[in-house]
Amino acid sequence: MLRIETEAEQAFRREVRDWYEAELPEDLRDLTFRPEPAQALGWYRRLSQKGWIAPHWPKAFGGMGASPVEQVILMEEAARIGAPELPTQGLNQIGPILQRFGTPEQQARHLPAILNGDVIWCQGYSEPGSGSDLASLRTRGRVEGDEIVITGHKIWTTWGHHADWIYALVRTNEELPRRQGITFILVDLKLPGITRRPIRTLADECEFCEVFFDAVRVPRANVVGILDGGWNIVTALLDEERIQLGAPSHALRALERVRRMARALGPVLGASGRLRLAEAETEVAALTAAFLQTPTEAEQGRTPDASSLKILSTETTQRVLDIAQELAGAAAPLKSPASVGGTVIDFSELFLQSRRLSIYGGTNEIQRGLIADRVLKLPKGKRP
Amino acid sequence: MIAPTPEQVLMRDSLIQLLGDGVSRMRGADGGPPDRAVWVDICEAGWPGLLLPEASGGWGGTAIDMVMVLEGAAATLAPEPLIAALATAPLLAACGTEPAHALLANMLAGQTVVLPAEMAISPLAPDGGFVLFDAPWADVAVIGAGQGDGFRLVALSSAEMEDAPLRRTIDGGAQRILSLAAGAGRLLAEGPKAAQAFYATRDLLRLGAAASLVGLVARAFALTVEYLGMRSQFGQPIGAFQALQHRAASMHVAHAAAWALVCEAALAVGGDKERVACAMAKAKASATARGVLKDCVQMHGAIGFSDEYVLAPLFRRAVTLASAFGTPEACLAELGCEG
Repeated sequence: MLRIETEAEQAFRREVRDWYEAELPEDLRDLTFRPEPAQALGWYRRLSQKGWIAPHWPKAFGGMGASPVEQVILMEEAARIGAPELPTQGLNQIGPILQRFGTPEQQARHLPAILNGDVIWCQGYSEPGSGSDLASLRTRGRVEGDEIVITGHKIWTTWGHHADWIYALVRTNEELPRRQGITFILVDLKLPGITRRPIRTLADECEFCEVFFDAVRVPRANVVGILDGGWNIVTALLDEERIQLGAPSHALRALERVRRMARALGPVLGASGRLRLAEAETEVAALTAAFLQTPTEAEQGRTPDASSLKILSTETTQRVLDIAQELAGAAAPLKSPASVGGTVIDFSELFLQSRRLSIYGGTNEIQRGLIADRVLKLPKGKRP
Repeated sequence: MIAPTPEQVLMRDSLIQLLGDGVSRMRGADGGPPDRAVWVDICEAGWPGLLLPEASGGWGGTAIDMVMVLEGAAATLAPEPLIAALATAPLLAACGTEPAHALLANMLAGQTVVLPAEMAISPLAPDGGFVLFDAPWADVAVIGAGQGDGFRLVALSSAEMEDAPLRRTIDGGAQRILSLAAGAGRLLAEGPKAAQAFYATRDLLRLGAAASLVGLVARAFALTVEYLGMRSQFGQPIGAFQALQHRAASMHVAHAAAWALVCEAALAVGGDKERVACAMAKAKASATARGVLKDCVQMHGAIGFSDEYVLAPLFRRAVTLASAFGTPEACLAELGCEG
């Protein structure tokens, strides 16, 4: 963050740094992958007890109600010490959805469990035939009295095999136009009829899975919003989700890799390497600036340009990791991180993982289409 | 993105009105002495004092005021050396010497145009030289050289610049590469404090140029989006083609990122990260201008390559400004050394 920090912000940064140094276990520092729940949940709960697990949630729901500057301070200090990436589906996706659309009962049941780390959530949107064209989804939800009976197949479900609950989109009405027959529903993954199969990724880890529903009976009280009204919930929250996808946390983490690599290379880095490092620093500074300035825009009644932020964030991270690959030289394809001069350097893992950034949360091509349509108001192309 | 306050909008709009259509004045320039009528109006309205404290006869404006005003004014393509004047006034005020004080008074009155010349890489001066942009405007060039106690800030008169060849730049202006012979020029200030003021002015120059570059990008991109909606081929507006839509979206994102960084750098002025922030802003804005303006020309097709359309002077000004007050390459190289 480039701007001059207030005294209170400086004090907060010192507090965060000291606390991380004192509390973050050594075996959770500088990991290149997102640790599995069994490994990460202790740290998740520690952050939760400290009150720092949900900086962007309103205080009324147990969050910090943190300013954008405070949020960035937390991200910068986490990147600096190499704190692990934590499960975000609950904090960034279903949490905000329930805050806005959930019943008081749904809020009381699920929000504290997200904050405490008692329940891990995953997202059931994509299907084998429905990716960018999400409204074509075919998983059925048949209403039977007080229950919805779900049959179908979800895929690319991040952390689905580690999750306790899934929030899913199911088709409850075949008669209505395709966007109007979709229901948003919360499903306990322990229910009978659910099978999960992990899928190995390009980065050689089991990041996501398939979820099969075979006549799974879910209480109708688990519907969020109204029956057949799920599409409105998804679109209403896409912008807020994308602002969190637009946070500079990944980019800061990637930049820290480049800095460490540059330090390890020392004088061998050379003039061109220093230019690359400076470019990485500049790109991340621009992203951080854009993230910091986004709420100002919202406050003034203008629509936050969330698609731009999502593109900027994901492509900045990817650019920084391209630079990391360039600086790594012959070490670029090394599979595992190595310790050099007391610092852990990751060569390829984050680079491989970062391919997903421009695919998830609406591909960057979808985002560019949205910008053309909604922000630039270009003429409609021949799209459905 | 930070939006201008109502006061900043008023300031910006009054400046835009004062500058009018700069393109005609730009095209009139042939490297000879420029017409100073508009410049005198600008000075009489008090603009060079924007960043001076009120006690020194200025407006007490902030770096954020400066970027808001310059971003808006850039699209007028006015050839007057506004960025340099805004950034140089605080330097002269900080010198605390009689010659600097007199120079500042003349500058604010619109009688003397004082422009900074900066050390820059040029194949025309492989041994090093001080590049003076908008050279035909300069009555006095200010040069800072040396380090620490040996730092000297000197003023060269126009007579002392004449030997350096005047070379036209593509935006209608011209540059000279000045050298500083031992004992040449008039000493304005020396020592570490003067050096500090000099580097602060260099930061403001970079930031001001960065804001102007973003303003040029904004104007060129707005024209391009308008054209995409208007121009029809194959029976539909070309803006309906996905290939162009996605490129336009990328240009929009690039512009937004550069503008966010420029505003952020303005919030860093006066703090520990001022130098880094202004260098980053200049590097990013320059690279964005070079990239987006080229795409704007491409997406206009042949009309984009025509000098009769306003895109041509916007493009040439952007390319010139990208290399002025710290090239993006030099700014990044500096960052690499400090990082």
